[in-house]
Amino acid sequence: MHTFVLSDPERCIGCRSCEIACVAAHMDEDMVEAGNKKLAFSPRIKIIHEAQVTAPIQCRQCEDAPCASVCPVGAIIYDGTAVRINTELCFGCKACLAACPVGAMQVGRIHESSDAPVAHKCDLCSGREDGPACVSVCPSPGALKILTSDELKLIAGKRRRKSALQLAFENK
Amino acid sequence: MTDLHQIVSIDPKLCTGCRRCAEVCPVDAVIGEQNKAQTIDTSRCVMCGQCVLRCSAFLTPFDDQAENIAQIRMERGLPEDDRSILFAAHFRNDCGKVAQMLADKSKISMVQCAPAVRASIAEEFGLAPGTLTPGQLAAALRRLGFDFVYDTIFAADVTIMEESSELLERLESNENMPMFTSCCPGWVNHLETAWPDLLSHLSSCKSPQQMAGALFKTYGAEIAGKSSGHIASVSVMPCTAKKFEAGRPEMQTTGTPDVDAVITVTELAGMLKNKGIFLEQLPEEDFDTPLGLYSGAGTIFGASGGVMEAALRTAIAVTTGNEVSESGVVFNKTDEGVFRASMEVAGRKVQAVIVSGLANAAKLLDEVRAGKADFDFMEVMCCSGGCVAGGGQPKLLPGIDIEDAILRRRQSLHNHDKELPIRASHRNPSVKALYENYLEKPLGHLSHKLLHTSYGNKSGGHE
Repeated sequence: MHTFVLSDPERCIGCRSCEIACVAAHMDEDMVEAGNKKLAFSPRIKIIHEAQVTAPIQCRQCEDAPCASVCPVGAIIYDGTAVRINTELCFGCKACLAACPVGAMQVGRIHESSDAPVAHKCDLCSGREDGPACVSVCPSPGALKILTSDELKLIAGKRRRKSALQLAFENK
Repeated sequence: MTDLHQIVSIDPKLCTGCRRCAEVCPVDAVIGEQNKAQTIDTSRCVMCGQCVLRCSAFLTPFDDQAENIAQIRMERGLPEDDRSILFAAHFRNDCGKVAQMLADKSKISMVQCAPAVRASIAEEFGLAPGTLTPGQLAAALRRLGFDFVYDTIFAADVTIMEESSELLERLESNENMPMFTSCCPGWVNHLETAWPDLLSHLSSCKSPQQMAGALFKTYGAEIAGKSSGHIASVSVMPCTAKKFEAGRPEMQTTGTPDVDAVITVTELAGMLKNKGIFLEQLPEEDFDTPLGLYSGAGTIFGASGGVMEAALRTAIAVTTGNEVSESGVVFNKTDEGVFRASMEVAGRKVQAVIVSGLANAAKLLDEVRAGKADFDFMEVMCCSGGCVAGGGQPKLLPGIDIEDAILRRRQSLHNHDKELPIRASHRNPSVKALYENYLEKPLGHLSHKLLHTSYGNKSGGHE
């Protein structure tokens, strides 16, 4: 599995720092300046607020990415680190938005791209030295976590083992 | 605001300006800059609906504009219970009109299905492209409430009788040669808008849809024991231009339109789903006789090259007495979308051309205009591959190999032809009976009145 950022809803306090950090990481403008200029605020991570729970949702960097397979112009590709959108090719049709199983895709205007709405989503802040900005700013320890390929393998293996044991001994 | 009178339109609120529709438009009718909403030049548009098939920009409930969904449905004249996805490029929806006609108990409803419908409608119910469901289609139309489930293919057989006789007559007199087929309304629209000086070359035959409509309201009405005014005639087509064709003023043999409403494959599938009728679960039923009985020759009208092959089967039989199931004439590709063959008909050599895709016709039309055409008969289908690729067919979404899907739909029509007991139009017993009991002979007085017309701005129909 590809590396991705996962949230722990039990630890998330819903402060939206991650959303702001995400926008800042993808924009050269100073955040105050950007606010004054009324530039579009388009985070690639989205906090879901419910009465019982808050949690950020973002791209899982799916291996057989459904967004990539439905894109009619081939604007979504895996580049070895993340599933990435070529905003020059994207024309905002929203096919990826409908196909995404976790609701991580956004379609709208993003600053420094085209004037028209385009698809955007978590790119793991590639190029940023300290890794994904959302993880660095999160004030609640452990609420956002980078899961690497090896860690994911370990988790998946544990779950499979648990399922196998359940099947063998608990469903009799 | 969508103009309801326009059959194919692009919604400026939804268009993202990707111009992928402009790539498939055969007549360059999509106008606009990249990343800006596009418009359609109606003076050039032939209403083939290829832009509708290609368009990917749609409105979703997840959008910021989600509150507009109800309003956009209303603007497009869609029924409130319609749940289809709202794409930027779309065609006029006539489901509401058909539902009203079905609910009107003072009328007898007759429906016809184009050949290409049975080769694709199953895709709307999750089956693979090219799954052939003629029996289930007939059953579905009956469940929807039509009194008579007839077939356009029957009229395609009649078209062959008329058109092959017309070709023989023109070969004899050598007037208005070469002759062009007139089955495809996109092609007819294009000739009228872009090549009006060549209109005399067009066969005077109405398309199978209009022949069927005219026969339903006359011969069919007689069979049902009703007057033409009591017949509601509906057609299910793979094509958006058929909606325009049915509305032409010259297509009114009995004072009302020969075809009262046209719905596409996708519209029919939507109506069935809304009523909880699942095509794939239905038993196979037969079409009603006599106007629903058809031959293999009429079936292949839905694939480009089919009209030619069907005409040849009958022409060979009539002129040589040699009853063949397949003409055996092999067409060779000579250019992009252009196929040629020569053959012996009525003791003389005839050069025939098949054009698949409207954009590929220009070179040949230039030759005709210059008086240098080296062929006698030309079939043109607006959509590449024929009606199986029409604008009213199920949308082939990204990730599906479009060429492969069109090929499968074509193949299924050819398979259907092979499995039918009667494979030439002139041997269709219902067609024989129609001529014996009603029309007398091809190109006769009554067939002239019912089945032929003239195209162009001055057209007013025959009397």
